[in-house]
Amino acid sequence: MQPRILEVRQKVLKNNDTLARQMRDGFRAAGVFVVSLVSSPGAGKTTLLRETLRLLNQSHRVAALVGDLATENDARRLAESGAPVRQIITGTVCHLEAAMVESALKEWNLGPLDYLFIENVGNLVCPASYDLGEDLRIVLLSTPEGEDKPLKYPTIFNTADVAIITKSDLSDAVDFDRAAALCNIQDVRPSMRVLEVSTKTGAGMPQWLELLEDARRTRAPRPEEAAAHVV
Amino acid sequence: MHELSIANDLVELVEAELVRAGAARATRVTVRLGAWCGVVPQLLRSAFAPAVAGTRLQGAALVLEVVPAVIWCENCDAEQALHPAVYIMRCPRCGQRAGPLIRGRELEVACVEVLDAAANFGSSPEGVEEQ
Repeated sequence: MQPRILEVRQKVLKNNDTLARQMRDGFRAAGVFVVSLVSSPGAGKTTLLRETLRLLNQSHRVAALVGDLATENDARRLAESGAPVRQIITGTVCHLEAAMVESALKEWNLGPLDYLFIENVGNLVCPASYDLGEDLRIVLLSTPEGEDKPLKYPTIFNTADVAIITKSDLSDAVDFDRAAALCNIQDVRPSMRVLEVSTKTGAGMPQWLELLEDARRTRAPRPEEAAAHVV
Repeated sequence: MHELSIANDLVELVEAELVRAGAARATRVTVRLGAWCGVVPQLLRSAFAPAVAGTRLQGAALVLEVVPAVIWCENCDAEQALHPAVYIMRCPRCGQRAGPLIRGRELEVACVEVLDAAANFGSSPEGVEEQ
């Protein structure tokens, strides 16, 4: 008996992608705008998110999920903003997947929410491959990390929508080459929107909130959604 | 990247296809890996044998087809393939900044060679055949 060939043509991560798409539809139906944050560990995701929640909480209904391998420390920090927060403990998994987010959102009525933020596990590699159903993906790069980070981790920058350079107040102290960083970001992700913020001084925060509100109002499809029809 | 986890997802996908096709086992799995998909081919190859052990893919050969990253260059009015080790989104021909990636993020099972239940006699390959 001869072996036969099965034409498969299926994505290895199709389960995640299918679920993420369903979740995206659900988020849109509920009217909640979902923003995820990725970065290396220590780039300032939690601090930026805590400040963002605190500021938005004054005029909007916001909530957050945060993923870590261990501890509930980040959820506690984020909860200082006054917004409802849930922690996802991944154990040994180095990134969040759609199923983890779906599970964490069980019995959570998202209808009343304007924003849901998802803070990914600190990791510049693996999260790039996993759609979480978000509307906007933000990649953070802190000034102490250096300006060539985008060149070293092109995929995570290339699959994000907006880059935020954090800890801008430390720029001089760490000899951060701002021009080179901006050029490097454009090299791996042409036309990427880039913001620079400092949660310490407040610099750039109004622009960040404005970007969020603009995006929520217009809710343009993410590049991945458009590309899904091409690749 | 966590290639073993990816290999496990791959096994699950192929097992489901075997059930759908009413086949007994897989003898060859062809995977298309885009240059920008984040998975290292050699690491996926290493993770394949442990992932298929005890499954209906045990002993199957793994064929990896690497798909180069391709961008569209407006200046050249053509598709251009990026050099394998280069992650800069610039046209390799004219240097102009390029638009989004057209190809190169694939991580998919292209096809699977299978044997049906009646073909259980005969030698079965031990281990993973290197391609």
